[in-house]
Amino acid sequence: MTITHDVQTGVSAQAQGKAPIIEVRNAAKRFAVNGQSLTVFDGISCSIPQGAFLSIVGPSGCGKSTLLKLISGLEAPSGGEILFNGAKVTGPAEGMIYVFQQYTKSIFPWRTVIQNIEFGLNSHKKLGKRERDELCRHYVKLVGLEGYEHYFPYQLSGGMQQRVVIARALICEPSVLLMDEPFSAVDALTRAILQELILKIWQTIPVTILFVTHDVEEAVFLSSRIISLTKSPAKIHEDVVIDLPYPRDQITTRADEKFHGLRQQLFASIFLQEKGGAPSAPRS
Amino acid sequence: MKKRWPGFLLIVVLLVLWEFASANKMIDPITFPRVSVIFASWMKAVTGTGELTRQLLPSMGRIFTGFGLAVIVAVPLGLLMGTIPMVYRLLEPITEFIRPIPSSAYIPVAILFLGIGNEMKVFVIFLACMFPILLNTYGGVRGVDSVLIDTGRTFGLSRVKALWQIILPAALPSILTGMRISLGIALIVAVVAEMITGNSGIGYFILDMQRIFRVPEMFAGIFTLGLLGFLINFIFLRVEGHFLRWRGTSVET
Repeated sequence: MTITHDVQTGVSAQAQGKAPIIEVRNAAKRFAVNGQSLTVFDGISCSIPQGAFLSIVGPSGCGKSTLLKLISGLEAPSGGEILFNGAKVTGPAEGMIYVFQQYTKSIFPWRTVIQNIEFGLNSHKKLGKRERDELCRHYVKLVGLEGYEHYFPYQLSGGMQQRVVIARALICEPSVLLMDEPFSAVDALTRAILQELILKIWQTIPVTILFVTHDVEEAVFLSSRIISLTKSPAKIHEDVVIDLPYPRDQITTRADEKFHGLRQQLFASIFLQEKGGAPSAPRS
Repeated sequence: MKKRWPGFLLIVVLLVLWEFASANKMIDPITFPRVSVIFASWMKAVTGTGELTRQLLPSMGRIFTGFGLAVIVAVPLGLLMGTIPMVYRLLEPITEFIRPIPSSAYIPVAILFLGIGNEMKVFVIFLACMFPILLNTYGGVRGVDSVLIDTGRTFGLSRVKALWQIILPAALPSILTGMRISLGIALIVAVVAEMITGNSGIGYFILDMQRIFRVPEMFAGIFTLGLLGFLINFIFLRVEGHFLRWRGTSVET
């Protein structure tokens, strides 16, 4: 295992303009609702450097999940384009895995834990049975599910199901992991544990993570950078570098003065914008 | 199985009541012979002369051939209807038109085309079994959650692989329900077809016994049907329980 994120310099490396792995150029998304065109957002641009842990926050319904879907290629933009490693995204791209918010609907209930994880190897690799088994066992261990290999999803708690879904995504060694509010449906303690797990994984494996959440505190705790979106039609409201040192953990990081400062600053900004009082909120 | 004994006890009680009522002529012992008499002739027809066993085999052969063919045709067709909107739009109206026609109604037509032999009966059973399987298959496929489909897409699964690895297993509970309904219908249609144009089969046997007034044997035939239906369903539920063990809820009886 190589540690590709130099935890102290990861942020500054970004600032120096490491090659972007994803570029969003003037992305727009419109839906037809009752014969009328509804604009979710129009003209969003951003560039995501390789190795970043970038969170997208914003009020519910602002289109942050939609933006993530566009990047993944699961949905096509109505305007603009998405580049992944310099190539235009026209469909689900190899190397990017989308982790759904509704893990209970994304897990395969007819497959056991190990079979679910093995699914991740499906179309990406031609491996022998032994190599597959070894890889599966490795990822079972990585997400801490040893002893549960042959359980069916209905026999697992929500947090454990989410671990299965994460392991299934990681086993195909994606360069980008797109996570849509992955921890919003588990209890607070499980969430705290899963947050540390995903940080540990991000620091062990060379993967760029795009993380959608409505929880500012979660975003500050995890991310190297946060983009906040305004209400629909969404615009980028803030783009903040979180220069808290890694490795982070629930106890010391959350006790950090700087953590509180960043959290408070970001929360205030989003809250005021949401309330409609901030001058930066575009009004028409 | 533990909590089922009251139900079985009720059956025994009713049979004892029947025995008693018939023996004491409270019901006509000629049209309702004593249960013990029926049982004796059943034993004789099964183990002794074997005339009932001889008739049971062709019936079961027809049922499973017709049912099997229906599964082979209806499941792939249902998968196509469920996944390709064009195929659905093409076949849905005709399905909805043929489906409400009671399967016994096309026996006369089938006789015109296929005669009164085995082919006709297998065909009618096949046709009757088709629709519950077809409907439940495409209903199940259309009910597959879009998140599951998108999960396949993000992992780069081809459409064919997605059909095999995601849509089929996700629709399996529904498909199996359709198959179970069809098995029940197959039994009904087989008996009706055999009664209309029979020279073999359990339906023919029952009608034949009634015509020559061997009432105990007639009842023996009817009870055999009940037992057969029960056994088929029991075995099917076991198979279903095995395939759907991932659902956690026990479907065993």
